[in-house]
Amino acid sequence: MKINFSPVLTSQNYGINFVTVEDGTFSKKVKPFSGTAAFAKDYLVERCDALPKDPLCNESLEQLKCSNTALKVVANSSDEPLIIKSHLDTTNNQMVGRLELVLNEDTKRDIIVLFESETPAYLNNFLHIVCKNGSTSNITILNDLAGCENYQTIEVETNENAMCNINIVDFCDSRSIIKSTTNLVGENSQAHIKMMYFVSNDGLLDINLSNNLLAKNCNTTINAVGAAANNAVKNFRGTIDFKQGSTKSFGSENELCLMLSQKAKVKALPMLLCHEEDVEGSHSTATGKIDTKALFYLMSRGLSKTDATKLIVKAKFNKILQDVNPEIQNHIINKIDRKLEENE
Amino acid sequence: MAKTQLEELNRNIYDFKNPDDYSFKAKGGLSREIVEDISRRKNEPKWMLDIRLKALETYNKLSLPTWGPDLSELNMDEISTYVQPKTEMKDKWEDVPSEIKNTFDKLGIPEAEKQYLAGVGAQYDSEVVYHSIKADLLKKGVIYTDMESAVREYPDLVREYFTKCVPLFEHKFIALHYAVWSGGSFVYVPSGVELDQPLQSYFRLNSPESGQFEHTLIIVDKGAKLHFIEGCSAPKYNKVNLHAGCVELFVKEGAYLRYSTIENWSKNMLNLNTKKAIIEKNGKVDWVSGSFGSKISMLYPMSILKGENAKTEYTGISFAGANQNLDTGFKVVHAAKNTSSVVNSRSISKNGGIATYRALVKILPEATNSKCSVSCDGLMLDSLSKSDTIPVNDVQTSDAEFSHEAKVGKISEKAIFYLMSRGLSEDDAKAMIVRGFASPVSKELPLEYAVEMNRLINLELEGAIG
Repeated sequence: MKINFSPVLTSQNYGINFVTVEDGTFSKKVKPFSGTAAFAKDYLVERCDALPKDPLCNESLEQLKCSNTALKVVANSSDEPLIIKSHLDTTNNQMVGRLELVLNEDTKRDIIVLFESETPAYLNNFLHIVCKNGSTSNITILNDLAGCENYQTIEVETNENAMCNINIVDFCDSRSIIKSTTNLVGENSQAHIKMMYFVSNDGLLDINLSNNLLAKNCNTTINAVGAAANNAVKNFRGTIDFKQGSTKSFGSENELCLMLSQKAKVKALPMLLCHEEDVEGSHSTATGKIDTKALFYLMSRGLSKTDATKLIVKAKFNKILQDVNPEIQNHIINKIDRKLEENE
Repeated sequence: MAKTQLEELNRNIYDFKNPDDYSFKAKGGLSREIVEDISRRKNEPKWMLDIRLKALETYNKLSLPTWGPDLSELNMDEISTYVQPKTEMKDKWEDVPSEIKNTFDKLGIPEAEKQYLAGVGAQYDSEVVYHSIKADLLKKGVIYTDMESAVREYPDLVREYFTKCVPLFEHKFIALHYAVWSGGSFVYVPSGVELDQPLQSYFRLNSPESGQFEHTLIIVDKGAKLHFIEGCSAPKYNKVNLHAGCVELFVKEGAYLRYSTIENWSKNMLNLNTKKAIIEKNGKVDWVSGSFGSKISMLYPMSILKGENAKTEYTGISFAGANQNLDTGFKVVHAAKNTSSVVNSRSISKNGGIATYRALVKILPEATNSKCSVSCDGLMLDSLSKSDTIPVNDVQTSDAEFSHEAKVGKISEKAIFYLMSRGLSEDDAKAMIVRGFASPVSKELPLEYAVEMNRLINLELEGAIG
């Protein structure tokens, strides 16, 4: 079954337009799930009715209609981050979830959406984020899922003068398929998607990020930094799409992938689509190994190869990590350290 | 600041047409009978007919691409795949029928030959009508002739290489090409021979509702050097014409080939051309490509860096105006150690034109210590147009460096302001910026062709900006 299609297709021979998963992946009946909870003050919980307009595939949409957890959180301003945590374990090991986050007008809020599991599990989740006029949000999505099948659809809508920063962190060692569609529908709105990934073992990480500029004076960026280790496969599809009417808008997309293994395979399709004259768009991608000169320099200063490697990799990740909520920064850094040690 | 306005200028120099006068024109459509008839008329050996028939079978099996421009208006039943002009190939311009000679005179080919070319081939519809090469090159063993003569006179050499670079099953239109190919040039440059002056083949399609399917096969042997220039044009008709040529380039150890193209098809042409080079150890191919004209172009030259230290560079520009969809780009496969590639692509779109840069960079596991750098810029001259960048990067080794960057936007207002502060009018400032945008391509062409390319840009721009 082909899922997670690129918004614009290119030659089938390149093997990047979509990812193939086993037939019936989304047709399994799932058990009840009771592992999601929200922690904070100044929020409301309502019934979630949202369904993705642009799902991974129709079958994943059908499964989401029968989700076993659905939560709508309306966030108000607070200095305290709102944490929504979904914990999967041996008993709660199948989650088909719908989560809707609404940032009220002029709200400022940090939000952490955490998916965690230390045992193999199945996750198909739809996260819908609505940023109302003038809201400012910094949303971190952490996929800390060991040995899991992880399918995520994220849809973001930014309205007038809203600013939404989304930081996605994924440690994939089995399968992570992520589709994010951001529609900048309001004038002067901003959406900045940052993604940090570490794909290892025989993991397959398939990322499909699309930012659509639909109004004047919008500003959007996609920044992805990651590492591929062992026999991992990483596919990155990123799209900045200037629609007609998005005058005076700015869009930029960058991806950097460090290859930590000779057997890893990485593909990237960074697209820049432009149907408007008065805009400024750019994209760049780079793939390479760890800079041997930097490694030599650090080792000449007394660091072991492992420590020097850790330092270089974390330096690359830092531009993403610095925007991740401090509450989970250390957890992510420790996780990167452990992953690099395993890679040795 | 006023919006950039561009108008179409007259393209009479390319759009003039001769009467549709021929000695034979195949009926529209594609069938076994037509393919066998083409082969019979060319008095081909059986192995070539077998390739044609296999290609026809492949064409019928393959479907149209599911990506890229919409090709639904192409009706093969209305396309004549073979138009034989009323002359055979000559080696003196005086012997070419005056009407056809006048066509090439207007395009400046005989004059160019006198001044700065080592050899010329001129194709009119489906057949090459003129071919010549300087005598000293013949003595050095250089072969430059039309493909039909090559099949007859150098069968072993042609058979060794034909279809080996671009296989007939690669896509539907290359299968079509192999089924009905006609004309084109064959070049063999022996080991160590360096050509100081370029060879040029010019392809002119005059007949309406027809296709041109020329096959160019170039072998540059060890340590040899060649600059080959390809030019194409056609007059404008109301119905679509089709160009599905094929270029196969073999560059041996330590050899160098510069392949320059200015494709200036009329705006009723579907240009579905395929070009590929296989480059061996220490070899290098430089592609210089200017895509002007055509209604739809799908053109992605490709380099396969097969040998260690092989290199390739691509410098290309496309200019998409009203009702044009130019889907172009470059493909490179790094298949050996220490290979390198540099890609520099520019596109300009105006009046609703669609310019797409579609590309592939593939670095295989064995291509350790390889480097690839890609840069592509799109210039949008109005909001009716589109400029898309769709690059695929596939890296299968950790020991390689790859980078890609692209930009899209309009003419910089700051740059216009700066030039105007230096005394230029706004119109001149904008025109200068557009020409400057195209300069990475024009400076890679021989002077005379850079002038030709700038003239083409002027045709699209001059007196119309402001």
